[in-house]
Amino acid sequence: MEKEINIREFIAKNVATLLKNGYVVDLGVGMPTLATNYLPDGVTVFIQAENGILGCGPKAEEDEIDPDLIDAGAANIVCLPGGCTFDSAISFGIIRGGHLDATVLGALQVDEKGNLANWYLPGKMLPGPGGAMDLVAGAKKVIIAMEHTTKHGDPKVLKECTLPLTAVNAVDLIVTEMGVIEVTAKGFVLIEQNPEYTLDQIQEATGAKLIISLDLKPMAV
Amino acid sequence: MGKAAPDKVKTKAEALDQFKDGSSVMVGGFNKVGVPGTLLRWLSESPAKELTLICNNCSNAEGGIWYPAASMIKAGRIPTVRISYLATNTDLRPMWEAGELELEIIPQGTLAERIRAGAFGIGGFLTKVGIHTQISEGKPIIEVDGEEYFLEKPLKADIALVKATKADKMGNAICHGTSKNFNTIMAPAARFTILEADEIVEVGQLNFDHIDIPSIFVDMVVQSEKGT
Repeated sequence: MEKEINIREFIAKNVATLLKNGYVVDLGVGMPTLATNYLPDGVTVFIQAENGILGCGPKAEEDEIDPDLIDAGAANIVCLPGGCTFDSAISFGIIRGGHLDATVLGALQVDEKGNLANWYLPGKMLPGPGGAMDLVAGAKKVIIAMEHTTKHGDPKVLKECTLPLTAVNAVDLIVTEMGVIEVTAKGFVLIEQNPEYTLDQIQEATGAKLIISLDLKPMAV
Repeated sequence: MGKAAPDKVKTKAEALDQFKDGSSVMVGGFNKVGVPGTLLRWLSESPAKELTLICNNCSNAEGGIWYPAASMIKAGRIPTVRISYLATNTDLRPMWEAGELELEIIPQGTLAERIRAGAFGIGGFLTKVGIHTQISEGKPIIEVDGEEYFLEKPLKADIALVKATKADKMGNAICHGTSKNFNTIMAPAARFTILEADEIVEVGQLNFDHIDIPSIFVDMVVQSEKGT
């Protein structure tokens, strides 16, 4: 897991195993979107993008680019048969109204209350919420896909978030290169472990106590 | 409407007359799609200042479609920005943190719904998006059937600049693909709406089943210039 690209692919592959056949999902830019490349055979998901499309297809080939058809990451895409486009009010009606089965997003920090921070790193970065606050408030299942620690090695899975919050008590699952963590009323429960890391190493890299599931499994991929 | 159909197609000079100091300006678009690039360029060429910009995003990439607006922010001509997604404009954080810019950061769906409320006579709406975060600070929390929500107020503007793929001369418009985004809801939310279209056709040439922006919300139509 030395190389960042391997970590990103590994996380994306494991996120893909959590998406069930027929799900309607909205996926953040980066690792979450990468997950669609690794869906298991027989699993089809419908992708909504908050800029106003349900039925996002793959990236458009050179000869099929439509400049007015992009996904939320501004990639030129095709709209799948049966797909449709709509304005931002309807798009966020879909999101806020609980019509999405799941959303997968990145994060700066997640804490054991399921609080999430991903819109502002004071003095360094201000991506803004975009659609993230709406997505985590509205989607039935909120999955966070991120590296377990910052590039400086500081934990991102914490007892309490220190950055401005995106949402309170919203996260259901966290997928990192070390494991899959469920957010429960009792705290973080490690439900899957990457066998490349020992439980001690995973706990060491985590800023809150991990409860080890009695049914702990190796990560799916 | 037949023969009484008004011709709202106007010139650049007539559009420029609408840009006044102190105006609040809504601008449609998501990323690079559905952005009224010609109108943004004209706005930056006008002398208007002390503006408030309301938009989803406003990239400061040089030569990009948002660049005229981003340059106006940088130059201090837009001292207030109400916006959702800031990652594509690297000026905003340092200017805000230095107190040089008033920034209202709004979740994207809340931005859309506040504009919709402003457009359609709704006195705000109750939402859970951002509850108990900085977004809900100072806003009344209201319980409905045992669930907590908070009040978000409507947003209106003096001017809306919107983009369509095709419009007729009285302002009925079609926004192709993902270019509908904020255009359909901003058009009715402003005191005066200028619509920029890639193609302008005669009244009666658009299929009335397929109109995204009804003409009643459009005060002026201008032809999009090539390259925007």
